[in-house]
Amino acid sequence: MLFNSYTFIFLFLPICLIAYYAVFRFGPRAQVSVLAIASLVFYCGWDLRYLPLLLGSVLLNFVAGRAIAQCNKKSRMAKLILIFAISINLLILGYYKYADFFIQNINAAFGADFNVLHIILPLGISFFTFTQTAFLVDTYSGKSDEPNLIQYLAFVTYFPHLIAGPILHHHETIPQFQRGAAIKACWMAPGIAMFAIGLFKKVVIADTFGAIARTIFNSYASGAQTLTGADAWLGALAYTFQLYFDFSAYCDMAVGASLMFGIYIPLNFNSPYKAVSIIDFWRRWHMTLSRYLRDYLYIALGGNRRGNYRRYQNLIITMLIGGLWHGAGWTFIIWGGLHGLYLIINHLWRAISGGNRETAVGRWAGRLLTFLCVVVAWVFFRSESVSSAVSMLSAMASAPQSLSPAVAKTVLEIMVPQALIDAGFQVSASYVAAATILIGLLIVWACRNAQELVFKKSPWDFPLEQAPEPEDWTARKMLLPLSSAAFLVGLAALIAAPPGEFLYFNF
Amino acid sequence: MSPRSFVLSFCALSLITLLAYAFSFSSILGAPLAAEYWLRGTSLVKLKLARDVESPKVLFVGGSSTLFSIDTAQLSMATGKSAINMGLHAGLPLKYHFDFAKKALRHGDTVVVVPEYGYYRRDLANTEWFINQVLAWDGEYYRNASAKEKAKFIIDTPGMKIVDAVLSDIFSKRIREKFTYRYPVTEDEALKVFQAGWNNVRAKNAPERRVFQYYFNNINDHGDINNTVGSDSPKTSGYGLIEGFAFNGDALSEIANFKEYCDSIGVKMVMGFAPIMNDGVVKNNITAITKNMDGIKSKMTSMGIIFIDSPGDVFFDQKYFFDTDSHLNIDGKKLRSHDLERKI
Repeated sequence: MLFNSYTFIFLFLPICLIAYYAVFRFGPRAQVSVLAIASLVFYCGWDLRYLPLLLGSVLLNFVAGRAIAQCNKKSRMAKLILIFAISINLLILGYYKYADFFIQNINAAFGADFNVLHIILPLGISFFTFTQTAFLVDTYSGKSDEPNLIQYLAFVTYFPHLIAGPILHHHETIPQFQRGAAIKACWMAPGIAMFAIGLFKKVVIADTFGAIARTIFNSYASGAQTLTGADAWLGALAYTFQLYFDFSAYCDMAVGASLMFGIYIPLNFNSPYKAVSIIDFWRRWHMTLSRYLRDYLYIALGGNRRGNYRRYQNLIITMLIGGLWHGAGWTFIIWGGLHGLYLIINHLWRAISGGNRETAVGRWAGRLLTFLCVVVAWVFFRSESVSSAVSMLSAMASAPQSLSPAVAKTVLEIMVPQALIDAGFQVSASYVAAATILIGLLIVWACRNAQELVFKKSPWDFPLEQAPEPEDWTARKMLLPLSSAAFLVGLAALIAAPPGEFLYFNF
Repeated sequence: MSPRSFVLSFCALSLITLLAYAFSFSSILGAPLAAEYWLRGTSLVKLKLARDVESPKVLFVGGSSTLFSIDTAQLSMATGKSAINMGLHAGLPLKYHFDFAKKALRHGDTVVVVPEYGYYRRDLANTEWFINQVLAWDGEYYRNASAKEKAKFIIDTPGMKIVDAVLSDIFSKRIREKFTYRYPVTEDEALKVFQAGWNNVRAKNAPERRVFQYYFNNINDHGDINNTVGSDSPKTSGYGLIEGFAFNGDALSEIANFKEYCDSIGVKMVMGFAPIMNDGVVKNNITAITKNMDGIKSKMTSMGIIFIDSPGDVFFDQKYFFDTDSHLNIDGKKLRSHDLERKI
């Protein structure tokens, strides 16, 4: 079941909300049970086959967490249980996500002939594995909230985040489950507005950029030789915007749906293309993954405590693992490595330039450079293979040319209504492509993001478990027509094609 | 604005906009979109031909496979029963064909339904192709639909199609200057074109391929498309019969409803198979295809429908197909019709 489907919008979500608030008088325990059941139904809506895996994983980690909590803080036994439980988690993740990649590389490197297993990746496995390992580590450090089984089940499987994040932290979520929530307009209003904006972003903006990007990347994957530098730039930029709008749409819809239940989940996105440096970018892009990698990997590796050399080494390792987390493939590893490299250069630059005050020109130069670096890295992230990424980047580095006829035709088909062509209007595909990219840039650089549009004061400025009810509702009159229009246009656009999956479902 | 006002206003505004959209939907009907306008004239001519023939008559109902593959003129002469080819296009829903036939069916008639194989698996969703046709040339379909069907049609219409239709309406003058045929013809206009086109070749096919066209001046006075001379040597697709064949419940209901209707007005309903090209993947999977065709026949028979064909009756060599693997050419349809003569 997708957030951007009629079933979710008109059936699943309303039924869950009615059930959730109907049991309010029975207390938070009943409400959290409704959330847990709803989340399992939501997961079954995807694939019933992996429900036992999800439930087994939840049970294993819950029992391990309990066992660790029973031991003395950081005792040898607690450590043994922690290592055992994390190993099991990583083994499961490794089997489902990386086994085929490992076999393929062994075959390639040693000329072996092991059969590839063709394992289907269980949805959300990367997310629920990370969520639970963080819980185990915190329990070991004595920072657990000691939830009961239902609370823990709801925390791990909570449907707004289950498939594609954000990666929840138990410390932020479980106290909210424990307090329960009565139906209040101050939760519903921002929830509806954010959900509507997310729906529009996904089905209108992201899927349109996606259609352009798909054509061009598929051409590179098939080894087409007729593509020009302009095609490559268009493909790379279209994917850059597709991923941005797709992922931020998912996050807006997840946050919005959760707000309707009176529960904050962490922000995952904060206008990342406005970042003025790569360090800034990673504070704005997939924020909960960055937090996880920083807290549970980078710092665990030693962080910056043992000098600059070790710091840079840790950065590279962290980003390589971050890349591998996104997918079992060399393109993802290279993507992670590139970002690790960018981060090192950024830290070095900071060290060299010292505490110079930033000027507006400097900020824009930083923004442009960061954006370009991110675009280049996305080419690896999206490409089918390293070789097709390299040939696309080579084309991007070549002398400027116009769009190839095939890509020009695709752009016109996607962006220009047939009626205008039939009416005899001469439309240049190059201008249309340029205007499309400019609109993308305008939105990501000049517009407020969803949370800025909806809230006068962001509840995410507080620790989530202590954040007040979202009373600081925006007074912007434009939000009503904007979100209604976004919702309706989003619904209408949904008709054009079956709801497309969010890109982050693949990771 | 307070959160409470926002929630109420959001719901009210969305509802009002949706209702306004639904009520204004019919204003975009007749927009000069790119569509199969020849079907409009063809259906008007066929309906006129069918209504003008005295009962008892035989109507052949189906998509373009029926339009191309049955020589009702030959059948009429051979059997002495007036037969009309009501075949249109397989993109149209099954119910569309049935409703079309109902307009001409009278007590004592026989209706031979020859659906393309995809129809048995098709649900009730309005395809984008069909929506396009309705918006372009068949506003009556929408206007005559029930409230439920209208709501479904609106829900199934893609947002981009609406944009296209609205823009086509705005620039209709420019578009029609360029594409003069993009308007829904009236019955009089269609009949005029039909008669003018067949003044000299009414009773026989022209011997040359060059006069063929998808237009309503290219059908004979039994509704068959003519001048399908020669073969483009089309490739066979397998007709969706190679893998396991699963019936769609909606399709079966439509067929059952039509059967019930025919029974209620004293019309004999029978069914047959659409032609199959015995080549390529079909040749390689003949056992699976025959098994699936047997399955179709058993299913229809179990619904109380007389099935006049056996699988072996409708396999034809590639040379008998005109431009697609569903369209028999002039020689192919002669063979097919000769077989049908003894079955009708």
